[in-house]
Amino acid sequence: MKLPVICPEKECCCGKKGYVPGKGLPKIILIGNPNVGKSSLFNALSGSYTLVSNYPGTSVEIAHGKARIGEREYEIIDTPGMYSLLPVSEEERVSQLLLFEEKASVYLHVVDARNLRRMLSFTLQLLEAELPFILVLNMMDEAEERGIEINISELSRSLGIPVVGTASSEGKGIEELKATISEFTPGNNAQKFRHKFDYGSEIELYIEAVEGLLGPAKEARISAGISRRAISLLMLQEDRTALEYLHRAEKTLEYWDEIHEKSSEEIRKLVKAASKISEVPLSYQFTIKRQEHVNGIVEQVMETPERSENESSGKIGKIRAEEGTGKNGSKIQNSNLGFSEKIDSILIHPVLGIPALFLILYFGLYLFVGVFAAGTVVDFLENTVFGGYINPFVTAKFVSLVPYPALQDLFVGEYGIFTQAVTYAIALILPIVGAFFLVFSIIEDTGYLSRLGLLLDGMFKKIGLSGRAVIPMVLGFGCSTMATMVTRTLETKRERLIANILLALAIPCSAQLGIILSVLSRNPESLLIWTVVIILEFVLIGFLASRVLPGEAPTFILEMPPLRKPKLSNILAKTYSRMHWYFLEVLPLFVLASVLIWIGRLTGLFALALKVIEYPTVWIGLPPDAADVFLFGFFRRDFGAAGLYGMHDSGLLTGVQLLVAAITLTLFMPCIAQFMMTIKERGFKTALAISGFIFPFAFLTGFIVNTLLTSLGVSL
Amino acid sequence: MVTRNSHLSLKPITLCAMEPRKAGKIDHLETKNLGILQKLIAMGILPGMPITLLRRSPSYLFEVDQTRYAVDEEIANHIYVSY
Repeated sequence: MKLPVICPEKECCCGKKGYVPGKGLPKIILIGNPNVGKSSLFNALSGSYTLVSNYPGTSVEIAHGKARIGEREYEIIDTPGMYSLLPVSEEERVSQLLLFEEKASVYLHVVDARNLRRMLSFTLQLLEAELPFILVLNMMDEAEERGIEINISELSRSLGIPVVGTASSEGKGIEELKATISEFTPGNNAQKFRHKFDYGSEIELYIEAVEGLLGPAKEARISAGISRRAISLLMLQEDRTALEYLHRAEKTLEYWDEIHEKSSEEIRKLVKAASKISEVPLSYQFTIKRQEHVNGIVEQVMETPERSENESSGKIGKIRAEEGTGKNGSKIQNSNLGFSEKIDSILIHPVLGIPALFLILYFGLYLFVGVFAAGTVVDFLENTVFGGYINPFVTAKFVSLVPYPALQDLFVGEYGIFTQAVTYAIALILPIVGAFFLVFSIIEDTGYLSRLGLLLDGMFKKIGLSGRAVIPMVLGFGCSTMATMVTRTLETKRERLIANILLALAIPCSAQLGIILSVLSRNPESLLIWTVVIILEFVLIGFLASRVLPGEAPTFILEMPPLRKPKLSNILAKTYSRMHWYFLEVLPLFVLASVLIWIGRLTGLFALALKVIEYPTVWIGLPPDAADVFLFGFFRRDFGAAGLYGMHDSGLLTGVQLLVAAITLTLFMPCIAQFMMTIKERGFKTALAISGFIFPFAFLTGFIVNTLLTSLGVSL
Repeated sequence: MVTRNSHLSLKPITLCAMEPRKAGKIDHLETKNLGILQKLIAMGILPGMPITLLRRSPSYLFEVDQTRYAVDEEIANHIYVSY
């Protein structure tokens, strides 16, 4: 989840500023399956960090960094995880395109040493693609823990490429890897290898025929990064990118002529014919062939502790224990594995898993984020530090230095840049969001998120989502904007859209949640009603959306990383980088909101807008003054919620009104930043449609709750 | 539990019907849904791989080689195993 762009030395590495560290230098590109430690290797090599997490598929964007290895400087590029050269998901396509378009001086294929059997198939594809690469067997420490032995030099010999074993999270093997990179000279290993491996004579004819038709004339355009054989294989598997490449070549080649046109037509015919010679899809057939070859290699180079039938029919914990003693594992490691298995089986237990989840939510979210950070810390910072010392001091100074009331208003007035934007950002948002990201990072690092996905998949299916959507949903409690960006890890367009709607509508972000909790917690009944209404909305809208929106129901498949003890350095790095991203994203918007409000008040537009919003405000049973809160709510929900806090403190709202306002505001679009992110991820029209639905719907819900409570004569 | 392992069942069954914690091998994959098929093969869930079902609720959790996967019933029905 290169959610936030994480930048070395505060340089912005991608997107906005267009700055790419190390641009123009020789490149090192990291490729490999999700969750094999590419990001932590990237960090170890470049000395900066992307987010490292124990959750598959969290790097959703390409990260750039700079590395000095030996005497040379390199640009180092981390890619989203991909399982093979033939992409299945959109993130994989990002990586595949990069391989088509970039040319690196060396590639690092990073694999999980424990899972060599599953990963070498991709290695074979990279050999076919004739990329100059080093195979990095990462997580050697975890493999050793399981008693797996790998003969690295034998593996290197049979593949004909350099192989290095590392444990990147421990920093082991990094020096050796650097030395290997320095010495690396791309040989013609791929050619040697090709003599040893083919897909069977029948299909090889087609592969070569297509390859031949790609022709030398088009070579410059088509085989930018990868070999013609690899492109030919992709074409036969009807890969979109490869076929588009052909199409693009047709359109852009200046010397396009009949011969070329004929050959591209030929290729399409060949692809069609080839698909008929096999009963199963060609991608399946190719993979099976490769796997057979891999199995041969693995048998030569890898020893896994025996697992007899007897053992595997016992309890899982027992299997682990015996696995270790069978080879060279020590007793202590065994009991660790057994213990983590026990915890694991509670976390994903269909019954016990739910109370476990509530315990985590109670301690992590409610007590730590809600009570401690949003209560104690915010109270101290806002009232004592800012309210008592800093703001009076700054205001007095500013007023004495700048005698113009309009400017005074802009900077230190009621909604001033300093007195409102900066104070909110530092005294309110910083502790709450920081605490949330800290808890989230701990949970993420342990591998619990995948377990949560497994646990909740069945329930999520009812609202049109799969267990995979757990990550953006949980992250949404921290920052909706970040979570909206992460929805791109979901597989179908429909699922991404539903997740986006639910995030915008019913998932309050931590800043807002903190404020709402502290406003409502004085009255437990209000808090209960608020919770019930929001959960009902979430379920109802999800359910309706899954009925109404066209498209197939999502399927669920997720890798389950082992449960790990969280590492302090990982947690701190992740929390810091998320905070960093958050502040870059949010503080400017706060300031912008202050400026807009200032302009609005000067020109009278603000008063006009307030007049308009007064109608729905009064309609849902609130005093006209509360329109203020909703106007702020347009900028940021938590901004509005903070206004609510103020109104409540001055006794302007009754218990019922406070509750109704809190519900309505929670259902609002989260903030401008989230709206912008929705435009970026879903397109302008969809973003507009989502907000066009949400604003009236939020007021409607407020109206219904108010009508129900008043007609029942409830007073809170 | 152990005794039942002694006889060989020849007909492949789906992962859903597999007995938990009994080691088997992936026999073949259902090829009708290309999307699901490609997802499975990309993740390395392939014929010949050793497979053990660990639990079937709340979702299917199984181990192939050294890696665990969680899938829903729909996908579990695309994996055929034999003992």
